[in-house]
Amino acid sequence: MSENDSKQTLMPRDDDEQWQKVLRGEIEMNPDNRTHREAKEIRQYLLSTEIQDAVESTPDSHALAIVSPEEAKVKYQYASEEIHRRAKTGLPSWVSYGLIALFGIMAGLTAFFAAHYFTNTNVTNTPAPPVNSNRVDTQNFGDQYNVLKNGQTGGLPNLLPIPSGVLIMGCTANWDDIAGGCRDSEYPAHAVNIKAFEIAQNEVTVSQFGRFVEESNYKTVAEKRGCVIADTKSPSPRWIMDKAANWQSPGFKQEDSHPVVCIARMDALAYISWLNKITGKQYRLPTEAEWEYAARAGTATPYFWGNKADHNRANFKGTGGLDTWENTSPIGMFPANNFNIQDMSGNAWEWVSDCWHDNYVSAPSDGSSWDTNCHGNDFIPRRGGAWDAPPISIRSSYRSHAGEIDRSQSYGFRVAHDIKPTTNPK
Amino acid sequence: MTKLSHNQTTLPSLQTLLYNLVEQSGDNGAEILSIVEHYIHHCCRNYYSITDSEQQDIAQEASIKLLINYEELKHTISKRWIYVMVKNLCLDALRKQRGSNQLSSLGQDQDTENYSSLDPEDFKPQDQFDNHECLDNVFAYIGAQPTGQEDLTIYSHFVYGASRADIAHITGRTVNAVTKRVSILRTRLKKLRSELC
Repeated sequence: MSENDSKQTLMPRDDDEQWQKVLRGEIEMNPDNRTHREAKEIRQYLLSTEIQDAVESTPDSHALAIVSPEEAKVKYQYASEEIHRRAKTGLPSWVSYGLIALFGIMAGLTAFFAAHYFTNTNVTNTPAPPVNSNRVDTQNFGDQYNVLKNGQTGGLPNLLPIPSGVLIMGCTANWDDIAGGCRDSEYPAHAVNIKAFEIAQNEVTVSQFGRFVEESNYKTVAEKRGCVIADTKSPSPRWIMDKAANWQSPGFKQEDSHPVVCIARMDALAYISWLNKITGKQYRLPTEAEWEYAARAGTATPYFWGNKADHNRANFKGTGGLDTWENTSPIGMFPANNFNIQDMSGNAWEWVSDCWHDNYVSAPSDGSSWDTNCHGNDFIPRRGGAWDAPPISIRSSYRSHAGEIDRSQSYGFRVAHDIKPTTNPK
Repeated sequence: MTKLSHNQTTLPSLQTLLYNLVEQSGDNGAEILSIVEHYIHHCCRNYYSITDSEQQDIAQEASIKLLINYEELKHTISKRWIYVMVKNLCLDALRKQRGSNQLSSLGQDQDTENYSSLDPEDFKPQDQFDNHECLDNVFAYIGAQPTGQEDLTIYSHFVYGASRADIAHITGRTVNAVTKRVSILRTRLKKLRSELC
């Protein structure tokens, strides 16, 4: 027994308490105290055993696959933003307080003048969704791109660049399925390498489609055989084929800036053929993978803005917030995603170039159109949901199908285009 | 058209996985973040009061630690380090709960939890202990008894600072039983060391 040990005056019960406190990490070990040393040794042994068991039982990280590359990208972005935020707030406390006070005064003045402005101009005071700082700058791809604002339409579809990247396509557990679950057709989630491409900022509008019809004398399927519309006279939801319904009168009032509907996929392809002829370009429908990549815009959540359907972000079933339309809304009324693309959720269903497959088993991983081993009929995927769709159907991974000549008052489309090889991000 | 494939290839090192996260290359750090998530789930199986929201905070904090400590970790990172980091973040979350007066789910506990962070000395590998063979024998003996595995779980949680009520909840024993197992541990260890070492 050492001299230090001989100086211990603890009663046995106190000694046991000290032993337990050191064992539990409640008090620091006194290296001169034998009881403490004894407890510390047991503490370290038990901790080490637990850690070793946990580490040794870890499955191979490649097999874990809890986080997808797309989710990792999002987590990296959030972590980076937080690191920068903390770095910026690492100011002396008096500076911080001063800035907070200054910010408060400015916010108050801004609120005062803003309230005054809105009162005098009858501008809607619906809160604008926050600006996302991860937005792709189209100027990095060249000066030819121009993001349309405030519902501008243009005579032809406005193409915007989509950067290359990896898409986790389909339903990822604990991400896409937290807004009411996923359909069987959305599985398995799988990685897809997407090459850079161009996609229209908005769905093709009534006026854009009208120009095509006027110049080509094209008759849509609906003009020949009618269009499926909701039976407004029925007390319960019911769909009927209305012989008189077509893109010009889809069963509700539309303006030129609304997405054209009552469009079968073959009508969409006819428009694209005409567009290619007059422009000399090679427009096409987006592949299903391209569509989902453009819709997600780097996000892993069910909707590009988060986990919950929001009428301030999209036109879907019902109204509220920015969404004041019972049917289609003019294009460009809702905030764009990080790729500057609008209405990927809701407004009108959109045709893609692939044929329908019941799930993603053996799906291509290069973003190309999946046109082989089709599901035994002429079903075509349609994506994005529409003005009459429930929240679950406007999720980024949601997919449904219809026939080659099916058309309804909620089916529209948007166009895509290969990006020029010389158009590289700066 | 290329198809999805699952070819077996040489697995990348942990250093490479960390590099992928920091440089946003390869899988963007998906594998190393999967390890983090796995450990969070592992910890939260025991610390059942950690909410989903707190788990997300832990995951974000872990990502931040991996990024800001890259220079230190790029040659030395180990699963052991990641596990201890995650465990400490879980303990931090529990400490915050205690700080905001969130009661233990069982309440009316004789003691309160006193989660303490692990310091580097706390997680040195087992083979670095002078008496590790002796302790291996002792705890192997305890583990081999009819309720030995539960006893080891009790001891482990006690060492991490969990309250007796929480330990009782986790192990399915009564609070009195947990208190008794802890109170006799020292005597039990002395006896077994004299017999087995």
